[in-house]
Amino acid sequence: MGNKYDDQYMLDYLDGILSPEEKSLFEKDLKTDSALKERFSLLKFTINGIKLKGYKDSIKQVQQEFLQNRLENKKFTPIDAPKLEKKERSLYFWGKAAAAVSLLVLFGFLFYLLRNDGPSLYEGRYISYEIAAERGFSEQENILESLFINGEFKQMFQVSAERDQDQLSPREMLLLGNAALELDSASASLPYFQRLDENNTNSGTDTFQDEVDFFLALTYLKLGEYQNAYNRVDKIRADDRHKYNDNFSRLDQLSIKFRILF
Amino acid sequence: MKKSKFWTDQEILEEISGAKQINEAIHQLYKGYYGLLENYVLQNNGSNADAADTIQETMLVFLNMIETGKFRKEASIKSVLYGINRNIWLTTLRKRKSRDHRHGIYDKEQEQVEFDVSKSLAEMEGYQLIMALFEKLGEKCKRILVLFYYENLSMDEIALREEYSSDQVVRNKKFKCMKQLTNQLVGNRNLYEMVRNALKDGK
Repeated sequence: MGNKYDDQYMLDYLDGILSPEEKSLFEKDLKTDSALKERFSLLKFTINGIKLKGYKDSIKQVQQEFLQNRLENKKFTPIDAPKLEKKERSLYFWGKAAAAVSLLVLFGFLFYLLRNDGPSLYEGRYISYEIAAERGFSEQENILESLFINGEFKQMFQVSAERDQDQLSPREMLLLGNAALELDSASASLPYFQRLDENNTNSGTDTFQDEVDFFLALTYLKLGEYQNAYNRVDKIRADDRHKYNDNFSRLDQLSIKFRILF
Repeated sequence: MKKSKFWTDQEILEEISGAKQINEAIHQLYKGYYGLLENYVLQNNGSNADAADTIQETMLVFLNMIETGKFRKEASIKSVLYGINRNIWLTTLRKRKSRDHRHGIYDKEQEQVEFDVSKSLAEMEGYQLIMALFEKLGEKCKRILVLFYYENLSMDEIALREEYSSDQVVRNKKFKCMKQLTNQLVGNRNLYEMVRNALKDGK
């Protein structure tokens, strides 16, 4: 290679800025001049190396983004499963769904009401009467009370049979009524509670009235006297200060009402 | 024409050859073939990091094949990438002197390596040297050379973007940068010989 072609000239050729004549002459010499050819190849190789440097940077950048993206996707979706498409539902569909749910709730509710008859409500709500602890010693001497405390319920009736029934005190009537419930005899308990209730009504007092309301309600439920039971439950629930206000729920009341209606 | 989410081989080749949407074309290669290439490395005693390095080099060799017109269009991108990746990984294993693994895999991989792929791999060693010399250039030189040769910007465009007074100033600067690069190469006999050998092997 003589001084005919320098690097600038060869670069101009590679950059495509030579005239067609200059280009043609250069290509002709390139075929015959091995030194020129080697120098030219080296220059071309160098330019290609520069291009590859550009590619290398692009590849590096794309790879970083790709791997980062893949890592993030992995964090949230370990299995690359196709996502379910969000379907547009018509109002008709939602209407049907709401109707189905309502029907299900209604059937569930009816089932609950049907299941809750008087005896089952009684079983669910019954609590044994417990004598308050603040009584005086002399009161504890009462035979019926002692028997009640000791769970001797049958003996209570044997003792009471020997007594004049009109002479029974309100406490004794309450205990006898509860003793009958403990013996699972609602029909036997009913007269005691009714008498207590009547006495209070007639005398304008409220001796053990909260207890009477509650145990009467239970007695009526056990006997299937739903209207009477409903009236007592309604009274208890209507009075926030009633001792047994929380012992019946609104649903219990509805169940009893349902029994009255059907 | 708007392309679909996954480009065809033809579309990828056109974008790279035409130096249009190169980054997107490379991204398409990653989307389409990274898993396949990674799997090969992982199944042959490589780690995720080995796979990442090998695939990065594979992509570079593949782009060089397109750039230098060595990619035969009758071959699919998938098979060529697979071939390059396999060769690079086997060479890496060989270099690691992991003889047990090497023989185990190499016995299985006795298939004839595609001629063009092996030539491109030989060329790459020379290019690595050029790239190393390129890195020693000043920032302005590197910018001008990459903008002109890689991004295919004209002298006018470079002048405008890099705030040079004229395209002639850019032309002169570019020539000086090229001269600096080739002088580095010719000035180092060993490097020069290595590049010459790579040139011969690559032919």
